[in-house]
Amino acid sequence: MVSPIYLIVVILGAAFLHPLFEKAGKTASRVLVSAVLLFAAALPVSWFVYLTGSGIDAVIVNTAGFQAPLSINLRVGMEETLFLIMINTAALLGGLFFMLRSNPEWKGKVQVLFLTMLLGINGLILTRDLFNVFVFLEIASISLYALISFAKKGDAYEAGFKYMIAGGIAAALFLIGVIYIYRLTGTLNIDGIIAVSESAGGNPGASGILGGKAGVTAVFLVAAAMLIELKPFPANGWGVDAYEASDPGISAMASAVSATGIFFVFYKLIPLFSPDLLKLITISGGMTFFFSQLLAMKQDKVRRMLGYSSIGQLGLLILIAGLGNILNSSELLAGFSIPGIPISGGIFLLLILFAGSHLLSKAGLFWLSGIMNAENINGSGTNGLLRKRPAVAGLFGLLTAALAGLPPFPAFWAKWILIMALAATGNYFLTAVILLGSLIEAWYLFRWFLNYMKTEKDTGDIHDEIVPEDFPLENIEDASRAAGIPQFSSLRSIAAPFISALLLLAAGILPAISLLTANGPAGVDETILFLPLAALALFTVLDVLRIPIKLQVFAGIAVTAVYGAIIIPDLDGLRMIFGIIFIAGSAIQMFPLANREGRHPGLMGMLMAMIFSLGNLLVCKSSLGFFFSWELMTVTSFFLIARGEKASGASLRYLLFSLAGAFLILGGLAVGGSSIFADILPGQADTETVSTILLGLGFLIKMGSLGLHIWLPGSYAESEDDISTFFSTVLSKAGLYMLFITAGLFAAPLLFPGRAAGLFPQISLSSLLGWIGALTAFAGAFLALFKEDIKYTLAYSSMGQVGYMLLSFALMTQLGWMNSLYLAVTHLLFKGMLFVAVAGVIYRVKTRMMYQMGGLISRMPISFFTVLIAIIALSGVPPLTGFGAKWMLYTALIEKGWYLQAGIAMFASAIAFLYLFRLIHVIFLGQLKDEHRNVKEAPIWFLIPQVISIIGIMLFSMYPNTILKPLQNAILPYFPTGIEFDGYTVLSTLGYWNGNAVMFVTMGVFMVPLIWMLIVQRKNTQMVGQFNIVFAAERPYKPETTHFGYNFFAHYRTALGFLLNPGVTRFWKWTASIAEVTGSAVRKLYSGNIQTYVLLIVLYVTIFLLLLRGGF
Amino acid sequence: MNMTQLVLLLGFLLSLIGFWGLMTRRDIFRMIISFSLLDTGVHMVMIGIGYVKNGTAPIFDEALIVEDAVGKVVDPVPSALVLTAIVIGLAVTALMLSYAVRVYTSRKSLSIDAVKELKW
Repeated sequence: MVSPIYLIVVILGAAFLHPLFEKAGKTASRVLVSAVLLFAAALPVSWFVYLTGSGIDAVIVNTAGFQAPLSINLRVGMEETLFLIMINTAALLGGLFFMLRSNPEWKGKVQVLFLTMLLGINGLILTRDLFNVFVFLEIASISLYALISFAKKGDAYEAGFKYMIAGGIAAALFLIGVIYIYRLTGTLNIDGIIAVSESAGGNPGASGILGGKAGVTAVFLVAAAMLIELKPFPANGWGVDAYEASDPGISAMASAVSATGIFFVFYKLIPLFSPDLLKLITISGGMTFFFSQLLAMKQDKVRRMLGYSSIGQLGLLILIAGLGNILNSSELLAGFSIPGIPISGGIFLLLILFAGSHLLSKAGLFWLSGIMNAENINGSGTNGLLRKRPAVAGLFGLLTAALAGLPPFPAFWAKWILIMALAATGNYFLTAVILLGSLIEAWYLFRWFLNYMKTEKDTGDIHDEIVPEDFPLENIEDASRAAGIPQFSSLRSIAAPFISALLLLAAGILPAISLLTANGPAGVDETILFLPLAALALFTVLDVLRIPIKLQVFAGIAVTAVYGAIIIPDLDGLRMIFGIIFIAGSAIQMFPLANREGRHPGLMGMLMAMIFSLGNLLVCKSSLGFFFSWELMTVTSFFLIARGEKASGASLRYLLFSLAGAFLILGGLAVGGSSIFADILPGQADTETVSTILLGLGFLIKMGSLGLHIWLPGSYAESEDDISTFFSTVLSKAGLYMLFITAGLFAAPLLFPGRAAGLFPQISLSSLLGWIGALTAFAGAFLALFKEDIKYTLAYSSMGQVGYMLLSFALMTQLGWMNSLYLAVTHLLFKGMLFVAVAGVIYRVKTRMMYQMGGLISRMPISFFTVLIAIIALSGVPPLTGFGAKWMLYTALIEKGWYLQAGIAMFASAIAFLYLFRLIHVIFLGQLKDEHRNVKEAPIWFLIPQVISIIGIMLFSMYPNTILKPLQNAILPYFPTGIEFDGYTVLSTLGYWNGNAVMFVTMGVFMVPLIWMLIVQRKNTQMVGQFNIVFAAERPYKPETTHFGYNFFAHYRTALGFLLNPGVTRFWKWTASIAEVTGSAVRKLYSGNIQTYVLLIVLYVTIFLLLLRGGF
Repeated sequence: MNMTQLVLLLGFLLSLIGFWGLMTRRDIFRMIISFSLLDTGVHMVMIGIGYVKNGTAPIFDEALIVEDAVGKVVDPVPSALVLTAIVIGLAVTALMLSYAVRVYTSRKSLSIDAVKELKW
């Protein structure tokens, strides 16, 4: 093994020899620096190979020919090696970034300072001598102080000066602490100090040499100095200044190299810390994490935001380190290992995952912010331009997702284990704090991402329809808007963040191998769960190869079909029903995509990944497998929605709510244990009520239930027209599926532990769900009623329909469940028809406003027929499927005795009929617009799914048994007694339903007057001309808002308009404003004045010390 | 009070004066001087801790034999540490002064009030 001395010697030597090389030329010095950085990255890798190969724990190297206490010794263990690999790789990439940037500054002293900073950090990690820590800390810090000034602007000088003052104070505290520790223990060797303090008292710091007042204070001073170097809240104002003002390449290094290295020293010193001190450290870390996220949310400068995020992530690391012993007692963590790393269990693995994920993603984002010239998060001047650079956009998305801890990146797995371990050890408050902080972090990171991705038409806050003005103001060209391709500064240097992203992906797969394969904690092989990622990779390759989108779509349909053919036959009844909805439904609805032309990078990849992760919900066996697929589905669907032209605001809201839902589910799983997936039957729940409520809320968010629905209309409506249908018909049922799977939890009576136990003795959660379902059905229909924008109408309609499914499910009776599933299947058909037909119409007429359409029956007859069938099926009038659904719903509700809910449901159905009537009337009937005289029928690709669905609807309407029997069989394990069938007639206690008979009677009712009119009354019947204003009821000229279809139900609005009051939206805005106000208030602490910061440091240290010593 | 305690006390006092100066002086140069005071105070504390009353230099000769060295010599480690710390302190102070010059050239003022553009 190469001695670690050489690491220090080579870097230091190169720094000293650098001026000589510089004399030989710029290239020579660049080669020297690159070679040294490469060496520094490679050497720890060789140690890693050596240590794993030989099985040695750690190699201790003494210097100067003396044994440890007399000399400084260096330790090369697995922990040091892994951190060095990460940090030196980041430094290597940092050097690469500077070199490729063709930056004139990358020479001379900057290179030397870069090397000395790396030297300091390497020394910090290796050394076991407390005073040596100080020396290396100063070497690294002074180099960093000087590097900050490299940006050569006033702000950088300001930031550097502040940083120096704060660093100087930390150094002073550290020195006093070290000298007192030396006085008490007689050694500066860290191992020596640990040995002395332990041998004297057992527990470090409790009663040993360091246990007295002087000892506690001395150790505290060392800890406080390290904490200040790591920038704890609120004593950290100078830190963000430095991140903001430095060159992005330097900010990346400050975050990735310097901060990570200093954290390792902190980690190394933990054995010296007493339990009391660790408790306070945990609190400080938690506060830093949470408040940094709040503050980052309020930033409008990109690098200042990233700086707060860095500080927050360090806070999380500190929190984990402080909790060490508590977390280590968790079973999951103890059994956790990462393939290839010979350390099993323990928080170190968590730390390396979090630290590594943060180091690569944060450095990558800093670099990217430099390449994109990103100063402000609102991205003014870049609007829409990033879409023309899909590779950069994709990289941006990957790094953001990695930093936000989304699957499959390392932080995702670490977060799962951390939350599970925290909950298992009873730290519920910390669990909530971490999840809330993570949510805020994902929010502001993706807000930045979306601001840069959005088109110029997108104002970023579109959550509802925007009805255009009749006589719009002339568009004034915004001269400041950059044109053409984005203004990147030296795109070559994107190699550095690109490699980071690749490393992150690779690092994300490693822990997954140990968690989701047969060796994992659940002991089941779930390799299939990686299929979405494989699909994403495959279709990305197709994108890169510029395979035409049509071929990609057909490949997608084929792959989906094969996937379905493989997994669906092995599923049990209930899962099979949903499998058909998820997979077959998706495959059919992919046809319209084949109508696209040109390049659509990422479209098919994300879509396939979403479908597969949805399908994987059916086959996953462990809680982690489920959660992984669930979050993957969230992420991929988010990226799909974000493709919409004006979808940035809606997609952000979607992400926020979906992640909140996912975190609630995570919380529920953590509280309830992992037994959720053992096929709970009704009445066999064994999980706590709290867990059930958390899970339920998570599922309800996904379904867009009333109160949790405000993400829904924008996401469905603003996503691209041929994509919306997937969200409405397929994705919205993921929540329903999970409710079915975990139904036992909701059927059980609400039993709160402790004092609240007697409050709701007879009520089960399912009755609550029933009410939510009924009200959602009503609200969805009612909100759909007044929309001019057809996609918003359909979006709210979907919300209402899912409400019916929820209501039926909540009945917890056989008929209710059958109806819920029946609705799920038929909703897929008719809502898919509506969305696809409407997508075809929009494709042809180029508007989404219904009143701007009209008379399209003559131009698009097939689409008209589809919409006609769909609205009959939806509205519940005979003879189509909807009638059966309503029959079963009301029967089931009345059998259960839920009369009030039945009333609401019936009222909602009536309203649904109104908006459906408007839909077909305004679009297809009436007078054809001038500009639409030449529109054609929708392209064939739109018609294929429509025809398939019509066939399905007709079949199920004529022969209800073809679907009811399988549905009944699916729920047979839960409700063993069969429903009675008599031929094609379904019998219930209240009556019977015969699909054939209904069909024939209705057709008869319809046909007889028709024939009467055509034959008997043929002399009195006349065709009405298009421009007969009495029948067309519209004025054929502008302004268009005089059209009869505009504000169609104005009279209802007058009567019931008060119900449209957006109370729910206001509630959530109010919730968000609490976070905003808190963030605004807290950030007033950061006055920008270094003297305030010094005061904050003094207060932080003093209060910390007082808490630790319990008084003066 | 013996000399050692006096040195310790003065060291702490000097550090506190340094802290006070850092927090109250508006002039950047005065702040840097305060920082030096803080540093020097810390160095005095370090020396004070290592000193043994009536001790001698840790050099073995006829006046100091190995057997009774432990009680007689002044611990050399703190002295060595202080030397290192002084050198580092010098470097930090020098860098601070150069920053002060740069701040003055960019903001045309040496008042700390001119150095709070970055905030919130």
